[in-house]
Amino acid sequence: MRFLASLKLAIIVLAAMALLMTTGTVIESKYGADYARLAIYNSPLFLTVEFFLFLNILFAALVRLPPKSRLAGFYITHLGLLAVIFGGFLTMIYGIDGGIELESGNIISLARVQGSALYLRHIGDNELHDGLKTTALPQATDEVFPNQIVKLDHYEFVIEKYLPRARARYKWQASNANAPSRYVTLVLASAYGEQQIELSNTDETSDTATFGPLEITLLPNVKSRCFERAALDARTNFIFSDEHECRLLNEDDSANSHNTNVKKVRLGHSEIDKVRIESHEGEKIFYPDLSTHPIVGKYALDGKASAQLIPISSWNKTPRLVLFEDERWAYGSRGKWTFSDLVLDSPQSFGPKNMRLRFHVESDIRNQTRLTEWRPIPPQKIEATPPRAALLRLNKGSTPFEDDELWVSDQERSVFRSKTGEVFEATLAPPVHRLPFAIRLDEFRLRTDDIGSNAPSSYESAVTVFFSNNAVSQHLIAMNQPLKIGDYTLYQSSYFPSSNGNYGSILTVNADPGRSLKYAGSFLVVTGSLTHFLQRALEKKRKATANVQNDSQLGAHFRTHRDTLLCRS
Amino acid sequence: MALIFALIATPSFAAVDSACGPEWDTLAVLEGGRVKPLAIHARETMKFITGTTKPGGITATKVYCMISFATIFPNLFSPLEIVIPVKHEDNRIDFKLTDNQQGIEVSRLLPDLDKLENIAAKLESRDGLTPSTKELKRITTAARLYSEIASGDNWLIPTLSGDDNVIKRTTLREMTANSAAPEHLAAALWSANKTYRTQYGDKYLWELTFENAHLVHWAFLAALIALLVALSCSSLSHPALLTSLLAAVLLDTTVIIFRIVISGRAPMTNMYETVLGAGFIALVTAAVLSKLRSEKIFLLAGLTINMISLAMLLFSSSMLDPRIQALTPVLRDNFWLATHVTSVTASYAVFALSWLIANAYLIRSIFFRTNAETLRHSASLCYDCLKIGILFLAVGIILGAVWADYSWGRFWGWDPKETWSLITLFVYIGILHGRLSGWLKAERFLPATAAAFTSVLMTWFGVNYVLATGLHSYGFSEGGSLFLALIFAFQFTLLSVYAVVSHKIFQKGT
Repeated sequence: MRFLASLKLAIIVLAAMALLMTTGTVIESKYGADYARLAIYNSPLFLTVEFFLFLNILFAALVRLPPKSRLAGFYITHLGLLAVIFGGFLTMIYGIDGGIELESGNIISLARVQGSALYLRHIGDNELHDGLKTTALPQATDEVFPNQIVKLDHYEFVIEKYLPRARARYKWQASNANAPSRYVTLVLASAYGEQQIELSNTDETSDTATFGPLEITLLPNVKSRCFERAALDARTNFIFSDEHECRLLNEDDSANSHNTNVKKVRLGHSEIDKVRIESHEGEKIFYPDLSTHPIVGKYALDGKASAQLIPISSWNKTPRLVLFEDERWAYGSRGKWTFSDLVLDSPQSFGPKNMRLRFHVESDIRNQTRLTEWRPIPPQKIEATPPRAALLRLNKGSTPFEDDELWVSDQERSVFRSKTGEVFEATLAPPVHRLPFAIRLDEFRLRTDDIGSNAPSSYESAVTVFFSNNAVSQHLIAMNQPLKIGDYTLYQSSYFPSSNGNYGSILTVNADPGRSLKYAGSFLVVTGSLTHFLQRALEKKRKATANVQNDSQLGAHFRTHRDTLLCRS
Repeated sequence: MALIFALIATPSFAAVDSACGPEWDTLAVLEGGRVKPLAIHARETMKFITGTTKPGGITATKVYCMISFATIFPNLFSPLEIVIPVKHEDNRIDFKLTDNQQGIEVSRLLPDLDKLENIAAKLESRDGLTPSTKELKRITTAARLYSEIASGDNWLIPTLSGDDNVIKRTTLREMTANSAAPEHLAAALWSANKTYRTQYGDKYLWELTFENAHLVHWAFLAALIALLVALSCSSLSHPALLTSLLAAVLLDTTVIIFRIVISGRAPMTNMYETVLGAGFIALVTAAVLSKLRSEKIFLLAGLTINMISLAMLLFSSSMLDPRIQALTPVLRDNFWLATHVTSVTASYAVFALSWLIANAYLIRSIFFRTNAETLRHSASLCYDCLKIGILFLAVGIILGAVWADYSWGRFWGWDPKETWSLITLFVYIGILHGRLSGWLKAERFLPATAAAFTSVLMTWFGVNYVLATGLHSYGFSEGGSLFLALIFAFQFTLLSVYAVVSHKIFQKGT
């Protein structure tokens, strides 16, 4: 008790905090703010020292009770300090500090907050399952083994490892999946430079890539012969291909044929094709403007299905390199296609002569499964934010997966398929906080009215806020002009170039239950120290007038005398 | 400085004279969102390119103007040869410079400038920003700036758009489009300038008056005289002392007021202005304190700090950039700027006073005899400074936190400047509590106070000059960190010597 209230503890605690904070700033300058925050400012050690600071201030005040008027300034200051520290603690525990990226027109009610979380989704056989489970991962500076259990439907997973900084490593394994897998690594070169491109048929997004204006597509289940037939026939709109057949759909017959049906559906502001095809494997639905793969359930694309629908008429509009299942490739531009055999390692030229386009196949791996493993890496210099990864393992509820090490990262969506066909999808991303309102960006205004300079002078967002009780209101958020909604405050923080050529707005969302305490505490600290110093000064003056009245006379006389000697002005 | 300058006689020298004469100093140009006199813009750009504001003894305005005119009218004007200084040995070898060449001629750089910029970028991505790469980047930037001046794109003339007299910018190149002769171009420039001045007045010329008056030099001189007078007078109310003190304070105030009027904002936005402000506040606080406590040592300390700060402004322009520039959006709030930054700067100023008084005692006790009375007295003076400094710093930190909460939604974010200001506060509060607890008796309190000022220097300069460069060993050779290193080295040598000496005194005592 005596020690807790002592001045000596105060000095020790202050010195320890100063030392830790110094280390924090050095770490920050090397590894960035996030790392320093986790390693120092939010670390158990720092919080413990802070706790002792709090105890010390508290007891220092308690042992000086009952109150004496002489110590008024002391009590006020120390009470203020307690309020500030406690307020800071409330902010750390209950405060929300998130970000919203708004593009013009989007309505958003989720704010991204700091840290990372595991997003695990179970995809049913033929219907998108609503079961999405979000699990917050520990805030760690280094590899941790949380052994957290994640329950989703009847399944149970364990988070075995979490790596806040990781590097990917591939390992290959003989595939025993039904659909044959294929990974192709191409090196594309033009007059301007080279680029390595990886394509695979393992999911519905990794079979396409771009190289400048050129599109590159891997058609995993389509043979070149089928494509060639269609390419020679200018009337073909779509090519349908699966294990059993190769069907060409023309404009004339597609609309009325009994086993195909094409109609326009609305998607946002545009109209896209929806194609229904009766095949040997049953009815397949395609949105060929979005993907060559059929959809499963309501929205999900099925990259594993052998059926593909190619919108050849719209493909003819852009230059495209196509790699087929049967080790042939084609280059097409404005409806003219050339077909060749695929040769490993030897460069193949294509396209207009002056572009000097060429490519070679670095590797073409089939019937192997590529597994990505993640390894921890040491802290990095500030510039690069390294990937994060986590290792899951199935605890119970399902048949085993193709691989029992289930790696998830923030770089891609991982898909896990069990041997009996259950599909899970997982990724790491910042956790989100659901706001009690939704917000829409109506207009983002970037002002550069400093003439003679293109640097922004101010930026602001005109927004509409929608509340759950159907109330709607419009506001302006600008620099130094935040918007308060209930417990939340929205700040203009930054902007980004959005896809439609305009700017999107980045807002900071903040709820701080400790705010009033911190403000009141700050006020008390200032008033208290002022009171304290004034009290001391007055006390001193009283003493001085009492004691030193007489003996200063001689000194004053001497000083004046010396002045006349030295300053001859 | 580093410069070889060849002004080749031109066929129509009269035209040159009529084109870029001394009165061209007053032409209004736009730069970084501000309207300023051509002379100021020319001096700033020439300083950047050649390292001096008077290349080859010719005024910056004339050189700037000639570079533009020589490109526009190649038949009438011969090109000027501008030399960009090259100091790093690696770069000097790469540019094949002989010992009597101070730098490289721009005309040699321009043809391959793109390639050189590429090389600099590649070197930076390969080895980081080494001193030689940093200089190479600076050289390419200077050459790029030169080519912008030559093309006329750098010379931005404020012109008024037809109906509502809104300022827009026209480059010299655009203005050249229908000028067949330099006389026409000059006439167009002056007529545009007249239109601008009729609408918006001559306020921008204050900057030229301010620059040409060299007020900082005068303020430095005044502080020096006041210090000498104060040293020779023991009476605080001696007319000579009061007059010289008043002159120093007034000159400081004039400098600050000029900067407020020119920039239209609180004069607390960059390192230059905080050093200026701290010097001023130190002097005023010291004057008030010495009056209140009838104590001359405060005044001496205040004048010395004031002189040091003005000397820093005069002699280390590479560390403290004197240019008046437009602000980033978030700082454009005069209330918070004026209160938060001023409060923190005031604390730095008062801590600087305590630092000087403490060090004065340390030096005295090492080289001269001191007694217990001097020790107790110096400690009590420092204690007064510490109390005021802590109050200012605490208020400044709180105002900063409230501003951050108001503008960014966070009260505290462990940003290095924030953290270091808190470290400084903790260091000084620690000393205060140490004194109360009896751990820091006067003979330890004074060295602790002297040492504590290093935390102020870290917050003030170290965060920008040491931490921001990522603690790279080669970043250390630059102005800011070298300055800090020297002060730290001096301080810790002094403290160690004091420790040894005071230990001996202590042993003799027992």
